Amino acid sequence: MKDLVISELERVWSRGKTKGLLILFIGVTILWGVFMKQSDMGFYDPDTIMKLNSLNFGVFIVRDIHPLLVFVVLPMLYVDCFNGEHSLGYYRNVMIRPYEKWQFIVSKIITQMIVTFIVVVIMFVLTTILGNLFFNKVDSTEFFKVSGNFSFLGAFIYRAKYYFVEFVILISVLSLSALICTIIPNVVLAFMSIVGFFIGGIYVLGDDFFFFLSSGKDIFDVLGNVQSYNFYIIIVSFIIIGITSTLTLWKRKDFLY
Amino acid sequence: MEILENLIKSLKISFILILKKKIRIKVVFILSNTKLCVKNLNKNIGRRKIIQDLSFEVNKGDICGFLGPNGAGKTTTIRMITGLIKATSGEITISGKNIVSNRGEALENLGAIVESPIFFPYMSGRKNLQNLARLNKGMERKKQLDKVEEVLEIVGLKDRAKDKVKTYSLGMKQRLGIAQALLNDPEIVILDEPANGLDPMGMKELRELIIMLKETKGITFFISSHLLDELQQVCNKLVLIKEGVLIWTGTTEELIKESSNSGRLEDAFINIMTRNERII
Amino acid sequence: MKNLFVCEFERIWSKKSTWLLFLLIPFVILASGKYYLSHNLEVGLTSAEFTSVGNFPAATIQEQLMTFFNASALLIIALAITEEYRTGEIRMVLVRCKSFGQLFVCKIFAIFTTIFMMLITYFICSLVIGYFLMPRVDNIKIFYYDGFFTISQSFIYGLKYYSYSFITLLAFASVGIFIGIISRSITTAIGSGVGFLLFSLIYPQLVYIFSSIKGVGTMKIQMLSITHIQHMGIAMALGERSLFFGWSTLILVVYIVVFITTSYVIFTRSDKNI
Repeated sequence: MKDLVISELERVWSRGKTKGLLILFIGVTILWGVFMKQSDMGFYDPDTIMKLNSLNFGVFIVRDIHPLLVFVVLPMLYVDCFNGEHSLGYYRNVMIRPYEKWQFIVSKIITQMIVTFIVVVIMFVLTTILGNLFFNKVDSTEFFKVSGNFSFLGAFIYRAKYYFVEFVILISVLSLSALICTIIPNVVLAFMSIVGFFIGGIYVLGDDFFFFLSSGKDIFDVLGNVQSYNFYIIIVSFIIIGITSTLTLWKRKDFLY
Repeated sequence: MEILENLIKSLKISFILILKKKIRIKVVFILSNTKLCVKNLNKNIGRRKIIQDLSFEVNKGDICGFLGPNGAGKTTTIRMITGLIKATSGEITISGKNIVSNRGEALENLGAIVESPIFFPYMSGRKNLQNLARLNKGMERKKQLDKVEEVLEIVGLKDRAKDKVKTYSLGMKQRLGIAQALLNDPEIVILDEPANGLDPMGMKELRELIIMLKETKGITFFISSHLLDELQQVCNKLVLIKEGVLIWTGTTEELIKESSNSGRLEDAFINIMTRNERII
Repeated sequence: MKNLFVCEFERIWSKKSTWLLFLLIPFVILASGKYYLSHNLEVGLTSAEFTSVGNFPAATIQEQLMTFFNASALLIIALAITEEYRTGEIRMVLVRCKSFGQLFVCKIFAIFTTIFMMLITYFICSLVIGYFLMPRVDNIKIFYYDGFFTISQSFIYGLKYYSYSFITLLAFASVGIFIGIISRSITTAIGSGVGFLLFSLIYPQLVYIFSSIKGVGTMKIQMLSITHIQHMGIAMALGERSLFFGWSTLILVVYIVVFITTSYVIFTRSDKNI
């Protein structure tokens, strides 16, 4: 399994598109940081704001970068992995190697989890640096929905937790994307279905689904222990249903490409 | 007669205990000389029967040709043998390992080109092979990389190995396809239309390569092709199917003797295919 | 040329995804209707935000233009251009037409025709669904109008709204066509298209925050975004004072001319990927 994962990772990083996407993502994050410096405000919601500083900037930018991740960067990576290689026939030579069918899809899921983790870590490191470069250096700060002042280390730990919750949300996006890509073989349709699913979900389920469009407020609620159960139910069920259904379908499917 | 001789020479009895709710003892007689065994294979898609009750064997050292008109089910059969698609019923064993219940072990002994050779276009030929070689079980990384260089040398692609596959011609992709089929030192290699896109020199080189690999490494080949003159020169055994049904199996000489006046495989093939009955 | 257009049009319609988009239209309208019904509880009868039978077609497309219609345009373009280009299917057509330019023209006309048909279908469905779903009000308030409209006046307004919406969709599709032609892979085409859509959505906010004087000049710069025109510009342009009608129309025409011309040049001159 380790070899399968390494093989997948090699292919992911060999694609020019992956590097291009990362550069784009880093560029947009930096530009957005410049933009946020102008406004100098971080949002919990449109009515609840806080002044930005070197310690809290990292969490407030997530709210704005999140849509780029969910609707552009990650779907492009996931669709290429779960669908593109498959439907264009590239994956055939891999699928005739001596591994069980479930091992192939599990290696893909693990690989994309690693890729998502790397993206989140890059975002974390970059925003920490940008926070120190662009904003007032402070010794302590506050955050929404938690009481007390956070020191440098406390704020760092809080930011790490914040990004971890963001990572979990992105894993639920990954799980659903894997399922959609397994059901829909056409690359274009799969991509649009992923985007359409999350946007359509907001229309149908309303606020409960909104964190897929903008995760900021909900992560504050999670860390402040005031989050509704619906959030956890949606995240956990998406991850479980997404991964188990993908595994089941993959094992049953004939590889016709 | 031949089968009986093989049985006496190298009979191997394997006891497999399968524990479910009750213990069943399954005795499996494995003829170590049978590299590929297809038994009562059926494949239905909806109500359409693509493959019907197909059975044949390929023994060690055979270069077996797999023939049939377009749409006969050759690629479907090959996809089932390589585990890419599931059979509706029937059994496929590769070197004694069942492709369904023991997929990993079965494919360890197999190398294949299935349909057209498609590679990751954004990687070089070498990188594609190195990436695939990583999936060779039980081989150290250094040995995997050495193996890549060895197969590139065998197929004559060493000087273009560093170029991206999207710049390759069809013939070069075909040769790269053969290279990837040899990566895991297979006992049996399945080639689906391997001469597609090859010029006459390339076809000659492929023919010589197959014979060389058979003689030096003892590799068994199962080749699907429409180039009957080529097959006549290399294959000692043939399996003919039509509309998913086995029409004929036996040695090349037998087929030509029975069904051709000109001594050409092409004529024998056409004659057999134009008959309606099944001749086995 | 006519046969080539019919050939391109037939191919777009031979794809299940095109039919699926049309089948989705009633559901999209119903989802919008559900939202507007709940929103109606928060606003007064005389508010322009109150949605009734008369203004439902305009109201429902105002939001769906930016999301559903733009995304549908990207989908149709990716399947009709990028996929055919990258898989090599386009070769079969290229060897049968007089020139690459002819094929390009017929292709974009087929795409534009399909988008037009989507709009018409959406309009008709919104009339029907609005009739059954929404409350009937005889005096309808429309954005950027001082007085009230009757139902028949609202219907005419709706027709004008959809006509202008079509022009905005042509502009967006022009950008999508450009992206579709230059993209090296299908996922890049779609991803870049969605990225452009996202950027267009946030661009007006960026302009607002960065501009020191927030006046007419700022609004004009904001209108460089197609989605901003779709969201607000159409209503303003069709309003009583035709606010920014000339400017937004000019922007849209420039988008169409620049991106279609550039796409034409690239499509006809570049053959290395065929």
